[in-house]
Amino acid sequence: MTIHVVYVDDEEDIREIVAMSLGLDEDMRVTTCSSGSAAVAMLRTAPAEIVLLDVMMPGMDGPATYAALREEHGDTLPPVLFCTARTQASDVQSYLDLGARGVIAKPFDPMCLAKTVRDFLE
Amino acid sequence: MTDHASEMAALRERFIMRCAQDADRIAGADREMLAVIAHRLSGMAGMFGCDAAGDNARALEDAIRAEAPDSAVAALATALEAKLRAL
Repeated sequence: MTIHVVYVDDEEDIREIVAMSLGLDEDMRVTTCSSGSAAVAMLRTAPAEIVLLDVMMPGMDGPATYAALREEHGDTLPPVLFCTARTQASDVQSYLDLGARGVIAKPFDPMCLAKTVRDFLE
Repeated sequence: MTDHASEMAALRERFIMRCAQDADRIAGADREMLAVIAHRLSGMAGMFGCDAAGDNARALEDAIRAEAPDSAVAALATALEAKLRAL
């Protein structure tokens, strides 16, 4: 089964690393978006199995993007993971309190990202 | 070198080039800009094996968030600039 992963980050370098990393898993298909608004628009027409959101983005940040996605998709929203360099316990809890499935700390090991994402899907 | 290894090497090279640009920006940056640079590097540098720069960036970001004195922030910023130029 193909796992469609949507990764949202304003940093081009990280989008490319994520695309490469997740591409190591032959069952994963990756779509990257450079902004929260682009992700909201894209997910209206292209269902995903999981969404990874950078937290700090200009304009619509990660939490705002998540809120917009929740409003549009409700219970059909796929699991969302926040990706952030700020992983103090209070930060992580705040993201989980929003309803996120989990948090991936940056920097992450590109060679392990696909497995990490799979683990959150199980 | 495998395709993925080549791709990662190319991404790392581009990252290093951008670090030189970040080093230039640090010199005249205010706290807000330093925080932006530091946050980006703290989340990215480790992916390219630049752990020392990433750790420095995280420390700088933490100092700014904690409203540390200007001298402390400046010292961390200067150290980060040096690490970026040494990459």
